[in-house]
Amino acid sequence: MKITIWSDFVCPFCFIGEAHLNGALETFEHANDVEIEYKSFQLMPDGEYVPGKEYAETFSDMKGMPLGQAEAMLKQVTESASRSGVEINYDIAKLANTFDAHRVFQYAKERGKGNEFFQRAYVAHFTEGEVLSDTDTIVRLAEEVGLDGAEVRQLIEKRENTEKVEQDISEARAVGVQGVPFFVIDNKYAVSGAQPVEAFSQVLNQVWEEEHVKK
Amino acid sequence: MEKEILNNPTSEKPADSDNKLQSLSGIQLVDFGGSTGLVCDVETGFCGPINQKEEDEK
Repeated sequence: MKITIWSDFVCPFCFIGEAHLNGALETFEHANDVEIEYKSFQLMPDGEYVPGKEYAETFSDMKGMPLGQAEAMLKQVTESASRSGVEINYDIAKLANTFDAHRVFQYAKERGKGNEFFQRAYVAHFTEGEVLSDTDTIVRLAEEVGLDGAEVRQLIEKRENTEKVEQDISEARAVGVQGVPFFVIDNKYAVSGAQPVEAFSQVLNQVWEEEHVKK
Repeated sequence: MEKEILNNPTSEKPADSDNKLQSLSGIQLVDFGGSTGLVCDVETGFCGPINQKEEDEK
């Protein structure tokens, strides 16, 4: 069984959704037969790191959302994360453009380190307050998952893998993705959003049954 | 498990559509009914419960 996930490092419900999916996989009898493939998506392609500005303020300015509404949304997200055992610290998190990090993710993916890099980037952004648009930061995170820092730096500077990121985003549009995270199972069924663990369990079991038991 | 067709078969495919993209057409979205799923909207950037988002759009 293959699960394809469109996600962005700065998407809180992608971070939470991954935790829920992992929770479902813990009790899924055939978890060892599940392959997970991440695909790039940019939730905030116009996102830009503004030093000294609070996350909510940057988000409010970027989206034209009243500051109070942005603060309430982030508070609700943080509470949802906490209930799922996911640590989100918007008091230190830095809103930033993720395109360079996605280009490095594509490089990581080609070397079998894509999922590891994705998970490392989630934690770096939401828990540790790292700036994901900063080249030195991306290189360091890549090295932490076992990638060649010099190659990663060169890739960023030469703006390589741009087309691969854009291809993933185009595929998302072709599928009709309107929100992330977005999960596609075996190119047949889609799950939109961070659904509860039980919902993921239900889908995993049902798809497995359809594909194996009923044949 | 109720499902609905996610893709509009009459919708125009992007010019750069290839075999990989075509193989993704016809994917069925799983409908969890009263689910409290959480999603970040691509257009607005709003992140919240799916049901709440739909209410806000009304």
